[in-house]
Amino acid sequence: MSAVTTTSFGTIWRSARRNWMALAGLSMLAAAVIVAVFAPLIAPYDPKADLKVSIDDIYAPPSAAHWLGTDDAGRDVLSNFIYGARVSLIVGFFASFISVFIGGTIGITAGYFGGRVENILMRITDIMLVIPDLPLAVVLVALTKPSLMNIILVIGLLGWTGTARLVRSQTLSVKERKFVLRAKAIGCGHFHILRRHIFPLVLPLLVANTVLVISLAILEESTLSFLGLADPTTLSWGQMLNFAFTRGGVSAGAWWALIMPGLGIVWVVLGCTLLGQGLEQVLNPRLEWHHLSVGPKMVARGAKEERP
Amino acid sequence: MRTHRSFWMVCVMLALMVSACGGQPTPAASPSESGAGTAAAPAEQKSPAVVRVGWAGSPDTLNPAAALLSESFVIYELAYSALLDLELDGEYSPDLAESWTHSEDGLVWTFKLVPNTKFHDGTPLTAKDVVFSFNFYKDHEDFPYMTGYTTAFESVEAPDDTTVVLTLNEAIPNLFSQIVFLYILPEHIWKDHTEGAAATEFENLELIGSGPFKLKQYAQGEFVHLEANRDFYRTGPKVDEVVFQTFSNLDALVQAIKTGQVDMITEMPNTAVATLRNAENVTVVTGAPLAPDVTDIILNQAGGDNCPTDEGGVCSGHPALADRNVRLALAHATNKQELIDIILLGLGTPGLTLIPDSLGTWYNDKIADYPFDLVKANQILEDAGYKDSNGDGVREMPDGSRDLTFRLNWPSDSTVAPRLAELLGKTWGQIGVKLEMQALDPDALTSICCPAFDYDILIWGWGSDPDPSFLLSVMLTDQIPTGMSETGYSNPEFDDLFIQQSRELDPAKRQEIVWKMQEILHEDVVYIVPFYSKAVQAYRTDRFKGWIVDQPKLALDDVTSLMVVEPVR
Repeated sequence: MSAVTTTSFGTIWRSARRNWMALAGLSMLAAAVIVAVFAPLIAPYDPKADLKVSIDDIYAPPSAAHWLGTDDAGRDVLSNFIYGARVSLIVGFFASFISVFIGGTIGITAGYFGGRVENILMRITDIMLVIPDLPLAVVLVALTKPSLMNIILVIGLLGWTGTARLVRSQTLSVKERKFVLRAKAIGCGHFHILRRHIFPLVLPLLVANTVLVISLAILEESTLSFLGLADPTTLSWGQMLNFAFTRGGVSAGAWWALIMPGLGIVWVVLGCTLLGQGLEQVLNPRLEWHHLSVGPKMVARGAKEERP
Repeated sequence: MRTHRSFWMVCVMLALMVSACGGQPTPAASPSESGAGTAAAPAEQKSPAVVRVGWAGSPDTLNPAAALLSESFVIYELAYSALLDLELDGEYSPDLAESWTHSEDGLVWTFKLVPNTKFHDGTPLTAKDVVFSFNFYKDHEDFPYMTGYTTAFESVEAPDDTTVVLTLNEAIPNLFSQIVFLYILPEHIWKDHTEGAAATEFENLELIGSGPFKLKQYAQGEFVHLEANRDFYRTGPKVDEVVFQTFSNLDALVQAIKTGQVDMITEMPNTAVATLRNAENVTVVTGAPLAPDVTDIILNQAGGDNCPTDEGGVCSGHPALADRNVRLALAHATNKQELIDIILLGLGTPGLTLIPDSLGTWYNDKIADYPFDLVKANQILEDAGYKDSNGDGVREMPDGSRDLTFRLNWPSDSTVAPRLAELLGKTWGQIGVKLEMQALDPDALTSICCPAFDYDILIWGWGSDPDPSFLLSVMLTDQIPTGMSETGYSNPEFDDLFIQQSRELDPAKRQEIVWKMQEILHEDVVYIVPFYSKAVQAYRTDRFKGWIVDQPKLALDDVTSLMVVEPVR
């Protein structure tokens, strides 16, 4: 079926190569992933090593021994930063997978079946959407056992609403297309239609959305850690910010302890956003063209010319 | 670290500290100096000398009957008089009372007041106001602190304008430590606000008292502007005005003193000490706090008959913590010196029991602490049957039912607890104990703490009175249902000794009992107290001089200091 081949990864890659945003985002993310994976090889110090500090050598400025200075406990900021990438990325990836899985399922189901099912699912989505995420996350994290897994679950379970709405609207438009109507007319079952006709056209949106949700999840993890709600032994960028902020980093003028984790977060979030938007341009049939178009630009950008 | 639960005691302590200043620091000064302060007079005509104090808090109310926060008491110490003051060396000195006597049995106390004193509004202050104030505190049971200071009062009378006769229902050794907090209120203002809830609802925005400073302007949460009371009955302040300015956080405070926006800051993070030491015209001082904060590691020992089920007790504490061997092993596995070096950056002393070293003679310095010794700690657990039989690095209960995995919680607003938790996790992990760490909102922490006892281990703190009674009472059996006891500890011998010390009038004998009680607490490993923090404050040298820094306790914001600082000329 052509729908499948259109979104095969070979095609994505070919298109993405021509899209500077996607390429830049991908490179930035790849760099972060490499740093995280090879942290023990790259980091000059072990962030879990025993501490020895005096009042005069905390927040030491950058030097030959410590390229990015030290933090409130005399630890090497560069090493913390490198190891911190691991937690941020792990949380980002896994939480966004959970979010996108839930959001995708709900969105497709609601959009395809319509009627009462859609009503119920979308009202649930609306409710989840209006509940302020952060306070709810704070409460949930407090109620569950403190672990990385729970932080991932909380972020994942709260972050799916945007995906659900996006996927639903895409499904709504796809299911009205002629090939879906024809498939129905020749007696195809719901499952078959969903799998062979709807899902392939929603998938590009899901992929792009996943990458965007990663950045939200990383921001949320940093927020929770910054608020001091994460396990203090789990070294993440948010945690570094928390320690620098609550333990006098600003007074000490230790910009290195505050800026580095911040830059790390910006780097990864920006990477995800660029990649996500680039992929969206490449993949979203509503933005460019899809497998039934005669010409590559037959469907105008944007949603103005919604097909019947 | 000013923790939530310690607020009320901290308040008390600060209040004490502050009260110390009401009079002059000269002990037992004769009341010869009355009327306007002489030292401040030359400042007239010129721009007034204003001391700007920066702090990260602000008073919760100007009504002493309703106040909870320590900042309120700092202001009361400046604006109100009490019969006595607590000095920075821990001694009590005359304030409104110039002399006193007591009966043989210690039940009847007669105080002679300084004559011809006035409130800020010009109304004369007489013994009747003292009687009114004491009765006001005594007759209300809903005052957070004041009620507790009058429990031993039987009756108060005023035979003439300068004599107050206080009769107690029982002779107590720590009367002075309570009287210093009993501020004298003007009867003509407060008499309309004595009934029921009206007493705590009264805003008292005029803050009419008889202390060395009077209120000029007040904006809640922003600033408290005081000016010198030139009619003060002792030597008045040398400066004209004091402004307490609230800053949103400690970093802002540090910046403010660096740039000269304030002349003194009452608190600062230890991590900023090195920075400020290098700053121009700023002097950083550290010392024993007037109101010591005790940081404690609380081990849940509530269970069985002691579980206050009627008060919502859950008592879900890990059973291993009821075993002294486990608590002892944890104490041996706690590297207090490392904690002080890293968390406090050296500005603290190793802790023993809840009674901190800054309580002076009440602190039992003869107790030998459990040394940091991981081998010994491991041995204790091994001998007691806690073995790691499945080789996962975490020991199990002797019957194999559970791992030695403890929940560890602390208030999310604490700046020392996260690092403390991290370091504990490291050394305790080396004796096969695992910690599940989580910061909690202070309210959530209160709800799992006590009397619910729905936790394993907490990091929290207490503020302390100048008298050890309060901190000792926390560990009484009858405090388990009230929520004051955080550990659920119960020891009849300790309970008996508490009653003995509360009645022992001979200070030496009382000290002996109080020391014995600390030995028991240390022997039973009720808490692990990692350290006693020092107070860290800073002042600018280019505007005011004379800050009191050579006393056993440090409190630049105490009346004592603010009474004697003078402009640099």
